[in-house]
Amino acid sequence: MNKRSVLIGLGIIVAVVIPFLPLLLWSVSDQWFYPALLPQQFGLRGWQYIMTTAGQQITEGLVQSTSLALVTTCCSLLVALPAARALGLYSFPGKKLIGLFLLLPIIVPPLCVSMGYHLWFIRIGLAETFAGVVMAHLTFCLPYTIFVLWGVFTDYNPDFEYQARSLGASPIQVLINVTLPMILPGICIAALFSFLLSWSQYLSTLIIGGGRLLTLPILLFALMDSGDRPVAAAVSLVFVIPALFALVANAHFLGRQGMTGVR
Amino acid sequence: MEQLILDNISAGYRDQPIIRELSLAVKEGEMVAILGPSGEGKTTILKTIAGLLPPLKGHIHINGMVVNSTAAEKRDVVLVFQKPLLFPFLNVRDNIGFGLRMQGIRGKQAARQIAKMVELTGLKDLERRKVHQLSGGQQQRVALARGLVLRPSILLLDEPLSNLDADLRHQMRELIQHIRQQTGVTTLFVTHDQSEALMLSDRIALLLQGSLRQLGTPHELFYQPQDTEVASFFGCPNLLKGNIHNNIFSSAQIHIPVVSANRSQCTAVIRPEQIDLTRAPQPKGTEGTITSVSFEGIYTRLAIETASCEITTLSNSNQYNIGELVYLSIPSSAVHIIP
Repeated sequence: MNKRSVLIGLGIIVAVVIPFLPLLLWSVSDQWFYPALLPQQFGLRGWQYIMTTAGQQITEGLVQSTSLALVTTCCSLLVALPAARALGLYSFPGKKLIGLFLLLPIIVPPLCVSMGYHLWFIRIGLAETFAGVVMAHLTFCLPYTIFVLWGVFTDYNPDFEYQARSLGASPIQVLINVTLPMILPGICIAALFSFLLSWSQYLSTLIIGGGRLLTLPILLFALMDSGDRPVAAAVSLVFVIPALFALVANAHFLGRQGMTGVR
Repeated sequence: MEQLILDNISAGYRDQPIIRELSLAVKEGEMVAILGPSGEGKTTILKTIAGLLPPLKGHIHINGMVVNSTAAEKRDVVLVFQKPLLFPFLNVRDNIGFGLRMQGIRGKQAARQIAKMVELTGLKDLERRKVHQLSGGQQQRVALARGLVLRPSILLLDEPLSNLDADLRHQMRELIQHIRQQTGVTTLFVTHDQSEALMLSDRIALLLQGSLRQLGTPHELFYQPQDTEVASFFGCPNLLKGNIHNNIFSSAQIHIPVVSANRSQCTAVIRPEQIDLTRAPQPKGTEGTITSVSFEGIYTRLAIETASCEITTLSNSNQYNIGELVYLSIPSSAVHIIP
């Protein structure tokens, strides 16, 4: 191992692992008062609470969060793929304006967006529904998904598709056997972005869901409010682990595959 | 029998024809080159024939059937692009087998056909390689094998040699000729490189400004160009205006015997490599002074200023110097008359 990789390793530990340490310690502490550096008394009360008393709620939250994030990711990929392809491959008037419009949901404070949505969704009956929350999440996920895939398609050579057609592949076969494998790394990154963004949505879920959809972030905030730090820490870890898993799996997959699909 | 007929084809994008009213018939087993300068839409023609672009006008016949409305994947034609465009997520073998897989041909039959192509294109021992582990020449061969494995009636090649360096060009040329001998596949290819067209094809269709200018054997296009632009395209700079009287072409003090009817006005195209050059005065030679010398390997290109015009010659001697007085004699065989 050379000096450089040691430094990089240290950097990762300092930036990624150390911030989690207090969380880990909190989750296994029974007593931890100022000014002690470490908990005075260790115990698994926090974990016990979320496994037993709040177990069902946490499981429901996990299921709710996962299904919301998965549906949002699928929807945002379905919308973003054709949009990004058009933006990346063709030039047409108004392209820059579309780029600007796509940034709007990121620029405008999420509270304003969600409040606005809420009014509309009440009128059209989407408030406090799964579909309504998915749509609210999409607002924040789509720009990222489209921007990631836009970049992928800018470097994409559609001649690969023409070549496949000439070799006897029908348009559907081209999509499955050429286009998708070609941009798979880009799709993975875009999906990860979308999944993580939806996973960590709090405000929009709360406003549009109106307390009907209890996702993990909503449970987390409720528990944090209660002031029970070991429990909040344990829930936080439960919240982080699936996201971390998605990230690591993605990084591992991408590391093997690389962006070979683009020219 | 004509395997491919282009009947009055106009092709291009969004109603802006790049190719106008091209008619061309390619016989079974023939190799025809579409030659033209870069940016003349030669690739567009191939894409149109392959069904990747609809023709703006005209009809395409393949094996006697009009295929205008036949989808690309159903045409008995394979287009091999200029870039190899190998699928990076497949290995060499799977790339070659791609078309077969799309047609639902798998197992032993596919394996047999792939093995045959691997053998033919000299890709043995590379079948398991990843695409990015191949050299440029190998990639080109995989691309060719991937098209040929489908046994198309017509093979369309887009600039098959132009991306390769001199050594690979030679190998690829041999390979294409070998494949033709073995498979007898009808081939239409486009190129901007006249030498590529001259050495590979049975006939050449020369495209200038988007329309067919001359169609003929390589020999015909090279030695009997239809007009001065064709002559210039094939690198003939000597275009002398003059007249013919009693089988003598005259342009100022240059007189060359030719076999032709009398003409008051015509242009003589004189191949530079066929002009004889001497230092000693010649009885029928034309006197001139060398104004520029450029060494081009086998030949040395000399510009010679005569009393009436400048003539370029290609000499295989590199002993000439600027300012030297020389005598040109132009044999009848070097002259082609354009009315």
